[in-house]
Amino acid sequence: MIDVRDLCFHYQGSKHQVFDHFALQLQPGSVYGLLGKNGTGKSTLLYLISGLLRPDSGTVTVNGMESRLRLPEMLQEVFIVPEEYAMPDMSFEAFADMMRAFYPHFSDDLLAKCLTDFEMPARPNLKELSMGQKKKVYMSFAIATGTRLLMMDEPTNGLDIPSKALFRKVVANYMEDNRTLIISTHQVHDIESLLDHVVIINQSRVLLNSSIADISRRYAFRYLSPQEMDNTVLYAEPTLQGNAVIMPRGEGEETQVDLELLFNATISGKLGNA
Amino acid sequence: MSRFLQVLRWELLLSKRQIATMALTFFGLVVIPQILTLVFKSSSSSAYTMGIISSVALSAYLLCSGALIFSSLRSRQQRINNFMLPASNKEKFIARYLVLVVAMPLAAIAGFFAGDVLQYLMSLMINSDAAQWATSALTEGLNNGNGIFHFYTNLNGDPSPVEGFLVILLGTITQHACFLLFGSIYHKHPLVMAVLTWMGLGIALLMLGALAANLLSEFINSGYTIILYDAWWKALYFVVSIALIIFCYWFAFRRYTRLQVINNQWINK
Repeated sequence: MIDVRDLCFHYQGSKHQVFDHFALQLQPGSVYGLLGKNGTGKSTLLYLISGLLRPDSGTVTVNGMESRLRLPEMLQEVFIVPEEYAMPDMSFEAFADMMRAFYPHFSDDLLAKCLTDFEMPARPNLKELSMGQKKKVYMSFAIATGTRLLMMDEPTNGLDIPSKALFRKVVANYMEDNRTLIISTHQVHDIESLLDHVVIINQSRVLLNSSIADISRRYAFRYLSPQEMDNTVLYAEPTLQGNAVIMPRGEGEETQVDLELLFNATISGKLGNA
Repeated sequence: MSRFLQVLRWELLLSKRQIATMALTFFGLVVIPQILTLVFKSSSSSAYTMGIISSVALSAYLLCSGALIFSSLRSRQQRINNFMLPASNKEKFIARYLVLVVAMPLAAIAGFFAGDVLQYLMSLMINSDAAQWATSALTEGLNNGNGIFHFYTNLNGDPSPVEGFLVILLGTITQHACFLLFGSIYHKHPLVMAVLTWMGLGIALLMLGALAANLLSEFINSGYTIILYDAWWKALYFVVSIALIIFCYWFAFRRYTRLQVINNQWINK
């Protein structure tokens, strides 16, 4: 569905090459977590996929269409929720009307359900919304458009603690199986339960592109006391409960993936040796 | 076609504040001076003068409005909204252009007429001697303009108002297209920068013209015979103008298709 080939990109006026012959393939129908350190180009990658930025060289295609061309056939299947959002200067009804006109799969029913689940009024006044409320309304619209690809950049930033739970509930309830969601975030704990695929990028390289099921099959995430530590441990971090470790799962029981631990282990290169 | 109309509707909705401001400005331009005139100098009317000023302002807007083609794409959010809208680049560009060059002047004209009716009725109520239509200045201006075209002569020396009209129309469209080009190059203060560039280019062209004339007169004074065919100059004017207009529109559209949400240097790959 998304095919990034030999992508090179840098920002004008900057010598830093954000992507240098970068490649990535993402399949449809998954909820992807796009993780990476600050400045690795997570938001840039989302913008490149949606055609908001143009590659220096290489190609980014969505459903076989080059995103830089911004073809209407591609755009009606792609929606991006940026980190910061200002609603356009129009009423809720006018905005919904426009969305309805441009997105063939737009669902008023889904919009109403998302707004209800986000504990927002059915017809919010777009001019009187706080940052978090704007995000909730815009995310409701994003889900209601029914696009096959939905991208969210730091979706939980600006949301209070109860709203983060509401966000998980909305995404879990209303993202259909045929839709792809890419969530770029630092707040891994906010989205841990939603993901079925993890992509970790660093310095123009994809360090990990794997399903949660596959990670669970290969690794066990446990807490071990110092006495229990042995050479099977691939990566460990000291915590108050003991050492949080990643080790080969072997024949043991499946454990819940600790995304933060997985991220740190991947970035430090410890899992590459496994 | 229906998608294009939706894009046009989207652009109109987003520009409704600017359209309303335009209409109110021209409304106020006719009404406010007349109110002040009636209050302080009840026997006279400012309507005619304001009619002339309004028509000059509207003409200036039509000439220079191209410079504002990307002015509503200043913020990151505005660009995201525009670029992600599921319509073709061509539809979005044309809709944007039509709002700027058709909808805004229409709003100005509507505001002007509404203001003219109001000021006329007010004048009738307060002092009927001071009642005068601002619109009469426009009709008079148009008649005078028509007279200017009659001064234009063709190759045989006969008056040719149609050709004169075409020459002036082409010149006007060329200037409008040049402002479109400047507006797509300058991101900061596009209107001011476009006017300055236009003035700079005008001065440079005048100087080149003076230099060429000087060279020609020197050649003629030193015994050479130079024959300048009027038809060639006219043909050159038409060809260059049309080529320049096409280039300006093409460049602005190409520039639009290459705008990015960030990273907007004017040369993009």
